[in-house]
Amino acid sequence: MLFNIMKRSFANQKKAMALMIVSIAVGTALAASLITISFEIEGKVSKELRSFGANIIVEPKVEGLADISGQKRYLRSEDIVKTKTIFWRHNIIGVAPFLETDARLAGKANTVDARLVGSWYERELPLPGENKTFPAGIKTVSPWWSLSGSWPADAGGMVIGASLAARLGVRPGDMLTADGKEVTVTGILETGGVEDGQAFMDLEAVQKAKGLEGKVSRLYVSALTTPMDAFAYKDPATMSKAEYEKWYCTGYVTSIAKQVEEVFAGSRVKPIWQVAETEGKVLERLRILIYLLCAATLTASAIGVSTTMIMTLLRRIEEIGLMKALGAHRGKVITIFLSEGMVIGLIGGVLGYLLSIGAAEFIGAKVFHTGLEQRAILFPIALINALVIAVAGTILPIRRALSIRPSIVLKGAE
Amino acid sequence: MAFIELKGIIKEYKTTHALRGIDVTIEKGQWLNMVGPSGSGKSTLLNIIGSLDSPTAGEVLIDGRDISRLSEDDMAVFRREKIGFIFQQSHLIPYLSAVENVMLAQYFHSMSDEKEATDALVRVGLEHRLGHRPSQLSGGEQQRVCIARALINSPQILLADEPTGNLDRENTKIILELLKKIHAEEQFTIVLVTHDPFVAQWGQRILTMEDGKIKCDEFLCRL
Amino acid sequence: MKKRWFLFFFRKSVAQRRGRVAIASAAVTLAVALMTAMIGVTVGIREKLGSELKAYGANIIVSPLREGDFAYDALAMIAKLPSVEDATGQVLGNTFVDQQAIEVIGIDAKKISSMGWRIFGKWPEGNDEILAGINLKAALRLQEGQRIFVEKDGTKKELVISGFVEKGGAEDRALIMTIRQAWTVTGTEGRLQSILVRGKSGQLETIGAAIRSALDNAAVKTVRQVALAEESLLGKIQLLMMLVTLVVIFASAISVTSTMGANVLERREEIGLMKALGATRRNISLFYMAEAVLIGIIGGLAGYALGFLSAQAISKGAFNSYIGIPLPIPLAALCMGVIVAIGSSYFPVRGAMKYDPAIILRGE
Repeated sequence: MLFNIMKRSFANQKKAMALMIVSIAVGTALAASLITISFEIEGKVSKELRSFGANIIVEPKVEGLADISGQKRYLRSEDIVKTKTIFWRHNIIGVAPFLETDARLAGKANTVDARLVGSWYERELPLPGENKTFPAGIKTVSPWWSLSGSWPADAGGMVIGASLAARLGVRPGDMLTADGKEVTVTGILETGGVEDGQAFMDLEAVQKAKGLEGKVSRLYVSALTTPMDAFAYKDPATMSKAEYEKWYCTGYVTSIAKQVEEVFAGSRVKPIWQVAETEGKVLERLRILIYLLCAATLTASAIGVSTTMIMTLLRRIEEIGLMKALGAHRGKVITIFLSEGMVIGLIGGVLGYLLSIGAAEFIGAKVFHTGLEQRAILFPIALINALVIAVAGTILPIRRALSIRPSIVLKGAE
Repeated sequence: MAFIELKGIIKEYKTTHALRGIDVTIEKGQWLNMVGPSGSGKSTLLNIIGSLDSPTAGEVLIDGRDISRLSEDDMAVFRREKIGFIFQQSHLIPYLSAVENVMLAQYFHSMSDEKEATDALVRVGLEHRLGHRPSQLSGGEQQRVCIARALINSPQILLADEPTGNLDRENTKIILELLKKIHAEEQFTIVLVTHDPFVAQWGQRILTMEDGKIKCDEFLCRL
Repeated sequence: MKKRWFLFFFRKSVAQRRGRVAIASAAVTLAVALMTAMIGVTVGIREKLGSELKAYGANIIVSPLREGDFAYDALAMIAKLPSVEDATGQVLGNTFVDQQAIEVIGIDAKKISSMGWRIFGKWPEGNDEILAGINLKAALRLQEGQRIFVEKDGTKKELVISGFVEKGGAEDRALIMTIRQAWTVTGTEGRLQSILVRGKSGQLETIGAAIRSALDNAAVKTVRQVALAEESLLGKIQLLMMLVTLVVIFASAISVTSTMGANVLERREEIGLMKALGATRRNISLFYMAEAVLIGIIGGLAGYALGFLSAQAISKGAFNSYIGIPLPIPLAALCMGVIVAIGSSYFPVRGAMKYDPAIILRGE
């Protein structure tokens, strides 16, 4: 019986029902897509911020003055892969070693005593204890390097920084001598930084040439970090055991640096603060912005849905009067409208959720060129939300309508 | 040529035939009542005459003009100039007073004129109810406002669909007396639909309908 | 005259339905407010985030093309160039401590404390206070407040280390001081060895060309590290905001349409009656459109006010500053309100016109 009444009610009010369903669907879609986006945005922007460069630097521990000027101390290159064994290994997305030496370079125009740096450009390193590899090298840490030409494939080639190349008078393909040996210029490097005045070869090639096998001057690390807060700035040495564990297990740049220091023999690991702190600030601002936008939009959308509900239901006050005149119980009327509300909420909620997936995917693809992860938990939440709004939007006007006497309604509605 | 000529009117809906072929002519100034059981098609025919509905087939000639083929806007113009409607449910605008309801009809025709509207209401005996809202009027009074509204633009045809359907015997008589009086004065054509045999005796002609066809067409011997 | 009566009936109609008009206006208000707020934030976000990214440092470096350096007033000249947000000079040289050569970096006195560097200890205050790089702490066995003697070309000076800098760059091995102090210590009076420029993202080419033509012996380089990452990030964030704004606008429009649709839906009887009275479709739609315009104006004004306040609240919350909203936007918001109200009424009204008066007037 209830079902029949509902069916007829729906049929009679196709348009009104459709409007309510559309309204709830749109409201739900908006809310759900915003929430999906806000979950994902921090991760995406974090990754994006990594293109500002390394946020952690690994250096040999400094003991005396000689260490400053003479660069006499070194790290072990075999320790490099150990960075992928620390607690936060999955946050390490790039490492680039640098071995700094000097060489006398003789080109067409000039002879220059320049810095010769050994590094990796693109390298797959074995993941300790597993059958996989992970990408490493300058490309993973300093994506802004502009290389015209290519990185040397062997010890017979060299990359020269742009200003150095200008001084030496060489171009890609030219030959020059480095410490008396002939090498080919395989590429010219432009960064706008100190690298423009330096020369580069593969780490192993420089190690061999200078008799520094297995040695590295510095390692740059690019890690995804949690923005620093007041707690993180506390000196770990002053922390209680519980605090220390909390700090260690949160991906602050300081704790990640500490963990890298633990696996690198004889090292002093520091955050590159300018990068790390700016990153943190940007993320923090974005987080607040997104939360505020979400709050504003969700509020507005909830109210917007309510206006539609109220509008469609005002016209049904007449219907209620009629039902009461026909002897319908108060409870029955409420049940009928409640059931309607639930059906509207269900349909609208499901529709809205599906729409939100589409919207979030579209935005994720356009902005970040990857999909956004859909959180499955959002579905029941969206559904419940839609149901609550639909039912609330139906019940509240109904209760008011039920208190109006039928005679007034029927007479005045002519 | 008769004033209103209906030729071969057929009205089909998806599942039913409301009118299965109606031929009838109505002279100018005639008062015609249409009777019949519910579903016989009398109201449908009324609406077709008044251009509120168009037939599936057939011609509706009014004063020589086939109004069933007019565009919607032309129909509206025709309606406002030639037709006055009275419905069973008065369909008065609830937030306008009696005189304002009459002025609304004037507005769509030409121009609202409070004096004229007032005079029309006085004519139907509502001089003490001018500013009342419909909810403040009795059923009979509401229908009297409807008469005033229907006649304000001096239509040539008055179409009434069960005008006394919601009224008691007393008020029914009042309304019918009023109609008779004004009809005698103005000589417009009346087509009235009713299922009440008492009402059917007023007027000059009774058309009995059944199942979408005319069953019986009698002239009453009076003027 | 007809207009007068139109307004008369219109006024009565609105007065009767003021509850519904209010609700519909509320819907339009919200829609316009959301649109205004989103657009305001989208427009301002590039600037707000951009100023946050300033902390990454200069995006243009000016250094000597050949041997030599720059006169100090080159700095002021560069700072005046269009699209240049900031310019600061650096003195680069060395001095000797205990006969060991130590790098010296001299930077703007004002900039020292605003750089946002991590300092262990205190910022230098007195005339002889300086900072030292963190690596020097261990190398020279220094402490906070310690006095050191620097010597160059026969000039001796006593300095106090007020604190240590940890940056992860060349600064960690150097003594950091003001430009004037650096001039005394390195003997390069009145000269700058490098000028760091902060230019508006997207304008770097133009700025570079301007510097090159204005300054002799200048090698101008974009600090790709900063410039590229900045542009990429700002571009993505702005695109994200634009797309979200579009989604919000779309959703708001639909939401308003459904409310306006509901508004029209319940007036079937009125429409049927008017048709019976001989009103043309134009007559009838005029009434409904007029109501839509009224709702649009109310909603547009209120919506703009609400949206403006919201945008400012959001901006203050996230960026601790307010957004400047250009003048055309209030007018646009009003128009938006009216357009939204009219546009969203169009289809419902058109649909309503199709109501068969015969069915309506027949009653249930």
